[in-house]
Amino acid sequence: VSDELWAIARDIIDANLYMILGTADRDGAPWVSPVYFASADYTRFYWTSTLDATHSRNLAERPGLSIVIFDSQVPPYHGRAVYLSAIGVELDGDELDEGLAVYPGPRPGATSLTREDVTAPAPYRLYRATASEHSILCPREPRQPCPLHGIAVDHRTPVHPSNNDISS
Amino acid sequence: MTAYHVAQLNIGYPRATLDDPVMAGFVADLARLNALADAAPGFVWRLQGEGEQDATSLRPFGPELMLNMSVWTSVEALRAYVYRSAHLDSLRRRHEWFSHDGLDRYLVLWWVPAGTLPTVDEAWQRLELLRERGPGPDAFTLREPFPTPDEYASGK
Repeated sequence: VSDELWAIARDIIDANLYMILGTADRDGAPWVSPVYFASADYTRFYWTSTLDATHSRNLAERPGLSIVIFDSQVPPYHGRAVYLSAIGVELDGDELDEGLAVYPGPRPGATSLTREDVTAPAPYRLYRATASEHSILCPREPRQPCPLHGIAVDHRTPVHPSNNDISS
Repeated sequence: MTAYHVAQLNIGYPRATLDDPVMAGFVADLARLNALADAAPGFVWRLQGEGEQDATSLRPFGPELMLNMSVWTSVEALRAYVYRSAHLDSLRRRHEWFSHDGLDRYLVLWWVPAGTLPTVDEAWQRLELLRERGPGPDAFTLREPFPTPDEYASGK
């Protein structure tokens, strides 16, 4: 069962181009932002933003992130989503090298970046969220209990990346 | 001169045979990338088939599994080639050409005494060690490198 649940999470991550970042400022005021992302191994998620974007400024204050990835085009009651708890950082040095090998990924219209694109004096930076927890909406048919727990309302269930998806 | 060089093994399942159009981009760039490696600062050695320019014909780990193996003077030299040379474009496209399904780990680094070359059997053992124990002084990754045995013993 855990492999099947993880496969659902992986499919959602693979099928979607944007994730929603949830950040908060120094005082705890929340802010959400959609960003185009690329994932190295379903645990590290990369995106670019300007330094002065609200979520970038928030991350500089509070590195804790919540993230959701979902398809907004599915019919009502068929929603599927992956939720992540993560730590976000602006990348430099070796970590920036690794990020540039992943972002923006092999997607149509995506243009590769250089270090100059995301280091001073450029306004953009490459960021990485490293997920510590993954969960998904527990799959169930509309108005039916989920086979896994027998629960007939929306709820999340934790999922764990397979070893094969986290590698060198 | 350091007493140790760093060896690396990288494995993957090609998504098609090398004469298939799927692999054309990989095959077309191979000679250029190997020449780039040979001329790169810190390059020491790379595995090649007997009488061949690369390792694409070698299958020591099974009929489907390709490998490349090389030795560099330092992790920094290897990193510079991997991430800060024209090799980066190929790295970005690797999933078009290779699958790592079921491999768990597919890249391993380890230290070898300078002047010696690793064998493929030793390389496989290092990869197994990485799979069993995760990154450590005897088998590690670019993301989690370890110091040379001398430095490690002296606590650096």
